[in-house]
Amino acid sequence: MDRIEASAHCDGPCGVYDPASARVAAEAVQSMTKKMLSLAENHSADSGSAAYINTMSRYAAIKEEEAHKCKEELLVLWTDFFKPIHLESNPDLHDTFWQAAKLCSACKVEVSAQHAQELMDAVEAIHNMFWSVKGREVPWIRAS
Amino acid sequence: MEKIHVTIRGNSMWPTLTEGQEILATKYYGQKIKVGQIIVFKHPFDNTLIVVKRVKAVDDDLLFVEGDNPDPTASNDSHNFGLLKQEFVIAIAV
Repeated sequence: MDRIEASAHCDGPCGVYDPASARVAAEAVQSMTKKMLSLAENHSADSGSAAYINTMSRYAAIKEEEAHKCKEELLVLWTDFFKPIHLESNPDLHDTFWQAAKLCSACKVEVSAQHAQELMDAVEAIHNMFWSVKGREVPWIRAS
Repeated sequence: MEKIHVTIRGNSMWPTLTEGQEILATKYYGQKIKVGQIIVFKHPFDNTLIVVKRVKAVDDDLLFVEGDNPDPTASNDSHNFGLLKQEFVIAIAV
């Protein structure tokens, strides 16, 4: 009797997914949050100067931009990479992504070291879910 | 009717068929294809690719095929490549 293989793949446009993109953006959010807190703590006497306002504005702009980018990267993983079958091995998948996306929003509008760290923790959890689904052991690393 | 073993790769037919599962299929010789049957066929735009999907509608020689997976991004089927001519059909799942 003949034997053949039949594809039941989705054949997506590129099929290249990696939570590293979200991790880099989340790290940038955390870095900018720390810089903003440090600037306010150490240079409050200069808070009316053009240099202070300019620096703080730039930090805030980058933080907001990276927080939004992080959310976009997470949404691509959530809605395009992960499939209903993955809920069997990761029953917390939807809640993890929802909370991570909410943290992106919180980090965008706040200057919160706590929420920035919670976002990193959420992205790490997603990193672990992603690579377990792919059947590969990829260690969690940080660029900073 | 000659039978063939078909090994499933991918999850577009989940939960009916899962990765690595083996199914038995009857070779296609022009027998009548009915709505609801699972068929094995050559991809109309890539004749090196053999695909498995479920028949959702039959219109003379044309078939509308779709994956069972409820995730709309999980299947490359008639939503992407349109109606399938029956000449591409290789086998019908038993």
